[in-house]
Amino acid sequence: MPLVSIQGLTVALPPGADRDKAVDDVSLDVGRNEIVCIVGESGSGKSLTAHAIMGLLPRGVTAAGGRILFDGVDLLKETPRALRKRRGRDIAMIFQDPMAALNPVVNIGRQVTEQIRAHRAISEAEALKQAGALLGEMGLKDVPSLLKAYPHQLSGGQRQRVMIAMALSLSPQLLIADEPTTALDVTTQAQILKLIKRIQAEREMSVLLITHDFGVVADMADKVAVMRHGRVLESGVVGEVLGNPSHAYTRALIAAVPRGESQLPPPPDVRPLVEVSGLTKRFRRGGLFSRGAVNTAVDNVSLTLSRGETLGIVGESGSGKSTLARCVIRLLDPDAGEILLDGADIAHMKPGELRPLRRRIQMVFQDPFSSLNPRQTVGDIITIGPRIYGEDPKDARARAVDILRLVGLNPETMNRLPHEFSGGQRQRIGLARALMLRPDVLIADEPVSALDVTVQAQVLQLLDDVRRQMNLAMLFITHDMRVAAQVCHRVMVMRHGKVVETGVTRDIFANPSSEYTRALVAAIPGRQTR
Amino acid sequence: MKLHYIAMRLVKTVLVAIAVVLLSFFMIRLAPGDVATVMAGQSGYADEAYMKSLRAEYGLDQPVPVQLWKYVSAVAHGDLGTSYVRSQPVLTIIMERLPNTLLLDAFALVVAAVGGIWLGGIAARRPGSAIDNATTVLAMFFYSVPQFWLGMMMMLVFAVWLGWLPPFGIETMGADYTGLARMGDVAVHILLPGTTLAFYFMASYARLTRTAMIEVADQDFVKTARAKGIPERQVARRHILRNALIPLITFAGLQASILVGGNVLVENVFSWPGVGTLAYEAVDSRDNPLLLGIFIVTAILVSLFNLVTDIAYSIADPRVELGK
Repeated sequence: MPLVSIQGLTVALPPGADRDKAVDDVSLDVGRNEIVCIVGESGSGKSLTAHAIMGLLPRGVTAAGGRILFDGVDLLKETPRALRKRRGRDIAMIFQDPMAALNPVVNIGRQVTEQIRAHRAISEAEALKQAGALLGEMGLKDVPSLLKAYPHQLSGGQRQRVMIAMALSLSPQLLIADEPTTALDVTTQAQILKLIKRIQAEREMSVLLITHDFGVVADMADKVAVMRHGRVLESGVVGEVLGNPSHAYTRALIAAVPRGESQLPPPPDVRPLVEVSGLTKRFRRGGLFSRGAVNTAVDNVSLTLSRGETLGIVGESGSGKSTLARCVIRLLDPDAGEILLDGADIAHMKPGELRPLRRRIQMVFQDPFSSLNPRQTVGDIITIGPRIYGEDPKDARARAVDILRLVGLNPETMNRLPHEFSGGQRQRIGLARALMLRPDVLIADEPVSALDVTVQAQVLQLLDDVRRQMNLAMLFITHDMRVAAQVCHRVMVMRHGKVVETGVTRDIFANPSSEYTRALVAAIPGRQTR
Repeated sequence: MKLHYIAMRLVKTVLVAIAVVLLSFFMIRLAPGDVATVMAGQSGYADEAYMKSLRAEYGLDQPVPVQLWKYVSAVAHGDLGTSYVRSQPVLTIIMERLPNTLLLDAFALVVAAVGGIWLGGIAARRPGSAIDNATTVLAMFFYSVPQFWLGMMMMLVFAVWLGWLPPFGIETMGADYTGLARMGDVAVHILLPGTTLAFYFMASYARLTRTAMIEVADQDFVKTARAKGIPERQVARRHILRNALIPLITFAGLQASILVGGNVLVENVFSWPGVGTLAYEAVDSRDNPLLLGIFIVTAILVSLFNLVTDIAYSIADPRVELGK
């Protein structure tokens, strides 16, 4: 008998939602001592399936049918009290963003002991001892001060380790991990996945891992189930599903995962359009009376970028890659160094001198939900730039029709508001807005990291097509090595504000010259399996 | 770092006090009439010579810059001047009244906070339920009725009709209670003005608590708490309420600042011998030194309350560091 057997589970959404059922007749087994992955894109119902097992469906969302057998007991028929006692003790769960998942005003020690003491009658001191031992087991250092620390004082990886320690504190039989590494840096992601795999083997538990990333599936899963629109499309042993997918959607999902192998030829050898040298940006903290600490976010960075070329800037959070981009577009004023655009130094230009040149460098932002003004129509958003530069509104609108077609949107969308569009469509609107100004340089700051894999693939393709057609110089900022490999001619790896190495993408992946780049390449999920 | 920050804030408090002295010194002079016109009116006749002698007596015949200089240098030495009407040092008069106002404020603040958080918590548990709607309506009612009217109605019902509570004052006149008996007497007297004041703020606390709790209840860490199998009461108290209370600290600080100047309306309706009634009397009799003194003392107290609020905030929320 499997540990968990989900049979015909249906989860109903409240009236007025965009569909009736979030999960529709889903059946799935999780055996003892195995890792099962549920893969799917947003809206596939993978997360709600996991929440249904925990009995933690959001308000208004209900399990409308089916059974969830845990060790033979139907969890859907258990009393709230019995289910509460099971949570944390028999079934534990960790979440996507460990910063949000930890209480910001309660210290780490208390958050771990709280769980132990909710289920066992032991003293706080005894629980604290157990908590300390668990944190050590998760590979965390300096446990005594960690127990007294608050979540915001920890790094992302430390926080997720704390979450895992908490989840394991009562030795549950099942660990549910809902996208546990999506919010983390690549190298941290690899460590956390390794940790989950290690403790699973050591403790012989079952793990249900929710993910959107087939690379993670390849590294982690014994079995896999692919979900879409609330249904399981196919499931089976991981080798079979990955090696011989029976469903077209599974094939599309697997194909959409960037390979991590560059197919682009080396860049054309011409005089650079953008030359950055010795760029430095420092941030000072502190006020009127105090001197405050100085943080050098970008430290003596130099780069060149030619027309028709895509330069990838790769790094983990805090590497300074976004600050660098913001300096190049002069949203931030650099402290030192020069930025030559066609030979003119824009690093220290006064606002009046800079204004006519601003048009030439445009940016596409990471979050397509917050980068578009929710109260402006698409037409206004994309034509306001040219109108500011004196273009006749009628001409601008006529041109907008062409640009919208170019980015794959229907020109009729011009009168609609951003919230009516999906994430991928919004990113297309953001790109159209940038292209309307006929830029020479396009800066794309993590343009696909908020998107589902299949949408991600489409937007990457679009960016590459547009670069080719308009002969754009593109600065492509990403934390994802696989994405960088797909669209960049050259890659520059950054860490702690400094350039680690720069080179042609193929060479960087095949022969990384620095230890850090090697670690980044090794951390790419699914790499060992391929 | 912390001590340095607090010292800087105290320096700023002095700067605020100086600004308040200058501003109010001139603003008070914008109002028509002075203490001479009031006194002449009270005495029944007003000939030029008498008015002139009155003005000379209070130094009002001197040029304004001279008056200002004299006043500022006296304040710098801790002398807030002498009341025209009462012929007593201003500081002595204010210090006599201030404890009464602070007592009333503290009572109102505690009742408002405890009652409001309790009501807001109930409302937040089931948004849209009958209890939620009832607290919302009640909160809006107390928020929108004028305080003096509410005070008079409370007085009418509980003092006049039911006769349960004394209608005004801080203690029974001529009873001369001492010790515990006196405390009990004051406690009975504070109920009507205290709850009148509290009701207004309680409504705001209830609304704020409700909103904050509903917002916090949606956060991931609350889901984590439930996933840990913690009893629902503990989830509500340690995880939801504890986080929802943080924004209330700011509000409590604001409320304390508003109240410390004395609530002119409520104190007057209940003849509460506090700074509010004192300010009213000072305006009425054009007693400028007294009014200026009240402004200065209030400004300093408001600055101090703000500092205390900031310190409390940094204790309640470990993410907030003083001075950052």
